[in-house]
Amino acid sequence: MTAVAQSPAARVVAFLGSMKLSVWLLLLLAALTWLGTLAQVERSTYDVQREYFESWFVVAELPLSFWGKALVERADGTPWPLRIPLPGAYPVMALFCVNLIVGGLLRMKWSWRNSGILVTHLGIVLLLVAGAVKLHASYAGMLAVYENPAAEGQRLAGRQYESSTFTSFHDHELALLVDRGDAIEERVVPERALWAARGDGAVTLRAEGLPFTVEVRHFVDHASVVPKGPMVQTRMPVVDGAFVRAEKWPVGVQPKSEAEIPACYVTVRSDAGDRFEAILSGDPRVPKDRSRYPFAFTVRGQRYGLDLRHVVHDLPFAVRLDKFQKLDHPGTMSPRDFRSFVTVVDGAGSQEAQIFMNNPLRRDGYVVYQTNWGPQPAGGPPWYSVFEVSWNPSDIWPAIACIVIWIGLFLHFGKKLLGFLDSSARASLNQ
Amino acid sequence: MSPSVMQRLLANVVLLVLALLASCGRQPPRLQGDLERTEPWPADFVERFGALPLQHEGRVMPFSTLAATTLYAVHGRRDVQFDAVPTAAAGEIPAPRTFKLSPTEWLLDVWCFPGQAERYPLFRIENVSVLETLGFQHDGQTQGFEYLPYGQLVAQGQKLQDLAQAAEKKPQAQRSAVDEQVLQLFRQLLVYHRLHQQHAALQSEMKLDGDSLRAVFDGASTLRIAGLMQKAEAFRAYVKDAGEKFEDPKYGNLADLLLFLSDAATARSGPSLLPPLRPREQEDTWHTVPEAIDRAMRGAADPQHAAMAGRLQDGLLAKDMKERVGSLDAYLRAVAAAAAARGEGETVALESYYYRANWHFHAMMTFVAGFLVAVAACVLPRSGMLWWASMAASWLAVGLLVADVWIRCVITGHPPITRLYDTFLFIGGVGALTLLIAEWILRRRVALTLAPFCGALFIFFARLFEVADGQDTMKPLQAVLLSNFWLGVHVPTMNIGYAAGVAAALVAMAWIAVRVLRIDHPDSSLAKSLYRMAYGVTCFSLATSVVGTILGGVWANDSWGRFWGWDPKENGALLICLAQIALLHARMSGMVRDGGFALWTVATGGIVVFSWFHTNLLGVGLHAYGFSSELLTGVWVSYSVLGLFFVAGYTDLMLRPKPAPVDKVPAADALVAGR
Repeated sequence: MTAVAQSPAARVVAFLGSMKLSVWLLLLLAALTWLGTLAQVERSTYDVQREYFESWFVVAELPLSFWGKALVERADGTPWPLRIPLPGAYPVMALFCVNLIVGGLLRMKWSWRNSGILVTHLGIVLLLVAGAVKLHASYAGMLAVYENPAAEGQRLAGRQYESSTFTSFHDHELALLVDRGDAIEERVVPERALWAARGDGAVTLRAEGLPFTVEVRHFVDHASVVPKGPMVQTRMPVVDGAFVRAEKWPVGVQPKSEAEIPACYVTVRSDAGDRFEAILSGDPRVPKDRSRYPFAFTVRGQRYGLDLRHVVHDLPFAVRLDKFQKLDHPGTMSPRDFRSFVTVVDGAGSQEAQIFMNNPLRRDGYVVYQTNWGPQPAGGPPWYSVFEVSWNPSDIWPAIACIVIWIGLFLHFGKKLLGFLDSSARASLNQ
Repeated sequence: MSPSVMQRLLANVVLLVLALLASCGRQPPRLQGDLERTEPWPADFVERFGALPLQHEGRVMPFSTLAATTLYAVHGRRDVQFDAVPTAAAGEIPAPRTFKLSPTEWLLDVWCFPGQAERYPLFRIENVSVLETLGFQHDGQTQGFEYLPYGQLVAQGQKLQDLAQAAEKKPQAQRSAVDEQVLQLFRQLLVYHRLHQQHAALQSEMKLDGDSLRAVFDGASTLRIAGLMQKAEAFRAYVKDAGEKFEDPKYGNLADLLLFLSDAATARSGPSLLPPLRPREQEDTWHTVPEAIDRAMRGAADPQHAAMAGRLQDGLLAKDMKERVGSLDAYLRAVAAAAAARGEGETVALESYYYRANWHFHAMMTFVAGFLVAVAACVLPRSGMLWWASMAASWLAVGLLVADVWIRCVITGHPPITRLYDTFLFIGGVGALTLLIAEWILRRRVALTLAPFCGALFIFFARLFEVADGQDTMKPLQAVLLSNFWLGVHVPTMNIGYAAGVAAALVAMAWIAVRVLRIDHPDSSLAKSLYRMAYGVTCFSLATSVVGTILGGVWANDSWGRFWGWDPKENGALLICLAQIALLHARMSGMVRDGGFALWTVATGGIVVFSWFHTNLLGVGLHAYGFSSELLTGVWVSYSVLGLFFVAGYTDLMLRPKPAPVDKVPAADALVAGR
């Protein structure tokens, strides 16, 4: 080694590209993966994913148990966990990606000797980038449609047989609906914009060209709207005899964020001085007909509505369910195959397709998967089919990365094995 | 390698095996009183009837498979063994006779001699407290466990059900060992109970009273239900004529008969024994006997089904073995012909052969032979003959195992791995193969020993798992897994990664043993060869694990629209990749040398166990498809063995970072002798 003085910048680059850094980052990621796996025994995969793998920082918990028995028991019989503060997988993977590009691609000698490693590293970078694109740019939701009856007249009101929208599983939005007579105009604010109204905060919304403001207060992520009886104490405001109660998942029940219903208070103040107050809930359904009823109000003779709902995404095509088919293994209730025969309709015309397990419909950058069906458990017509729709620009990048990595590893280890078989090293070991 | 060390090791292994064998030879449980079946089932008939096709849990399988999986589930053993003590006259000492029944013979007894079968010592009770709780007398924990017959246990069925329901309500973490055993015992009792009840309608004859009723059945005074099915139309007309006056004495005991029939037609549990006569495309579900009775009584009688049921009933009620075998053979021929006409006969015959031929068992024994020869090759002065003999035995065993797995693929119509059970055979085979190739490249006899050890060990585990799990290992798959492309591409690739990870860990353990037991100096060519080998196998494991893991993501993306979901099984696979990538980079950058590499590889072996099994036992996620407490014990035993090697290796590396050169190492035998 030569003792050449390095500039600070060169030292930073050397550190960022060093192999020792890779080893430590890989070990850190392995520790996070392991702890994140164990954490799923008590918490939902979705929550663990956000806490451990999509966060900047996590206090990981290691349940101390040996041979299935807790070393120190908590009151509920579960093992006492060791708490370990760690960086989240997100910054670790970001730094790892930098480390890989700097050390594994840029600073590495581009020679035939290193060709396999370089190709492999390229594939891994593609995989990591695909993950980042998926995390930041993709969205998904569900689309549920009933089997289309043979005759137009057999369609039932309130049932969807064809849809060109899908609704998010987790994310909510506040929609302002403007009744234009023959159409409803919508303006939406994402849930994120309302988070400032949690606790004692408030968010005031004003839309261009509309004669009122909407103030949002007491936004609660997981809530129910309950009547205020004489014996009920609450610090929340009471509107129309009801108030918003924050809900907690009971002990021993796995929290499911997709089952959480947010709620908030809104005050509409018109420029003319009118004032309307209401509670908005993520599930404003009337129990009997199961229809949604947004909060409606009238300003200057124009009807408006406010709806706190799962985010609705538009599709550039509509999906109509022509037929749903479920086959069981003979004599059992376990499904062998369930598939939807659909017609996809867009401006250019219509096209028939089948969607079933391991065979999604890919179109215009969207992927439509068969995820569920009903009515369950008995089944039988009228069937409905539930699809998951996702928009992911990096949809096929992992498949490409897999091929690239395979070629790289095959090249590298193949060369090494052949080299070893030929070498004197083998001969000397085989004396 | 020092022969004396190997000889001592070998002596200890032999002693251990002898001790294990001695502990297995416990006295079989006793069965008091005379047996109904006085002669054994003819061997050729047992083989024939084992191939009887029937439909159970979604697929057509042979009788022998149903018998075996049911016996594993309720008995936890591959056979039923007992000493029968006949009733003796006063003053005589009865001579007990030892019986050993195969699953097929046992199920034949359950069908044909239910009274005898319910006295078989079947349900294993490991905890004396369970016996006490159920109110049974016992003479303390003498043999570790007891067997209870169905006849005794069912008398306490209600009590057991109450206890099981109470245990079920408790959260998993709060259940005691007794709770777990009660739950398991109740499930086992239910399985047997259904089996016991299945032929209730066929196992008896009905008395016919009244001339008009007898006239329907050609004047017979007794009636078998199959006979009733054959005369279904005449009987329906008779019942129609009786109308609401069926209790009138002029219709004889028609009321009793109708009551009996309604019971017989509604019991729907158990396997479906009657193949539909329409082609498979039109009707894929077989009929149970009660269903056929029900159809006959509704006017949709099927003469062929009535004939089949008749032969079966003749077999069940026959007076002697010859008549019984004749009737059951006739029933078998009729069903087999109908199944063959539907195209369902071939795989059943093949499956019956598969379980009889038991190729993976022969593979295991051949591996054991290969292992013993390899040990001899290590101990005795180097002999090329022994090396070749062991190599040949191990390759032969791999060939047998491949044949076994290949037959499974033909039967199921799927690639080699569809269930957890398959992974044992596959990983055992690939692990052995990897080590054999490593031995071929670096002839040090260590991989020659490890390869058959690995193969035999995993086949042994497969057999333990098969019995402990008590489930059909070829059960049909759920819709999401029914993609032969992905099953053939992702699953084997991933499992090759696991197998190579296991093989690398074994080689690393050998490296640690060489160092800790002073078999040779860490700088010797033996230790260096092992290090090279562990490195090479790790590279192979890494390449397949990485590709397998990403392929899994690509499959998930096609099934659910997400490439990666941080599901436990996915995480387990990723952990193997991360650990191995980190290891190769640590080696490259000089962070670890041979010792660190060996320790790290052993730890990676622990991660393979975590990924392969432990993730399934966490009870979460999409891959949670197997649970049994035996498996969890196996996982912890594996962790402990790997942990032991890790700690021993680590301690030795800390205490003797730089061992003395070869010639100053004290003679290995002197160390062992404690000098």
